[in-house]
Amino acid sequence: MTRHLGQRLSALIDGELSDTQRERVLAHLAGCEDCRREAAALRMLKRRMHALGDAGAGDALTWRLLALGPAGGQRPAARRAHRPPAPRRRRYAWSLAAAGVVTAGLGLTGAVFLAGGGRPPPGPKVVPAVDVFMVQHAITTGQVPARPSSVPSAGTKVP
Amino acid sequence: MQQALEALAPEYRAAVVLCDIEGLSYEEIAATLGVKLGTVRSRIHRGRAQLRAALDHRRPRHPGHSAAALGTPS
Repeated sequence: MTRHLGQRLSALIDGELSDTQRERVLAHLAGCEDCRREAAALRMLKRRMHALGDAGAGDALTWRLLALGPAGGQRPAARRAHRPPAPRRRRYAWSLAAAGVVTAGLGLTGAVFLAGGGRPPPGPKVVPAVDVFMVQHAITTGQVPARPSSVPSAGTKVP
Repeated sequence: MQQALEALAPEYRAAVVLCDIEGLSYEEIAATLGVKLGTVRSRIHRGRAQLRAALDHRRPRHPGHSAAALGTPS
């Protein structure tokens, strides 16, 4: 076993490192032949284990292996397909980012309403999707926004 | 391979099997086994180390290469 990366190599091939840790480990790997060899061996082992699961009818084999010793506790969750590395953390980050963008957009729209700034910016006019939606919403529901004049393209043909 | 797995200490075997055969994340394994994430990480790593040692002990060379090189059935 290597003295260099240790457990982090296993975590790397399992896709269980954070982005920062992963970068560090990859930087080390780039300059360390021993660790590269070690990582390749671990990947090979993981592949063989995975193949064993496919050949051994998955759950039945797992259950038998887990039942062999005292560590065999509860039955694990349903077998799942091989996942790409670390999707969870990234998905979480993306949803956070998306939520941030939506919040910022809503805040901006609200600020425009509150300020009553009705002057369209110079240059080519771009109507944000939110504004278009608000106009359509006003038309279809008959509910007029607080200040329709703040939406440049508002048809204001509301019954 | 299966024999090497069966010879593994139960706590290592559980972690490695849940990770590699079941495809669970470390977090899910920790929840399943009721241990901390760091424990899962170390068990998986040690389990693999022991597996490799056991496999090396049984077959000094990689089976695919050695069988082909020696002309013997695997």
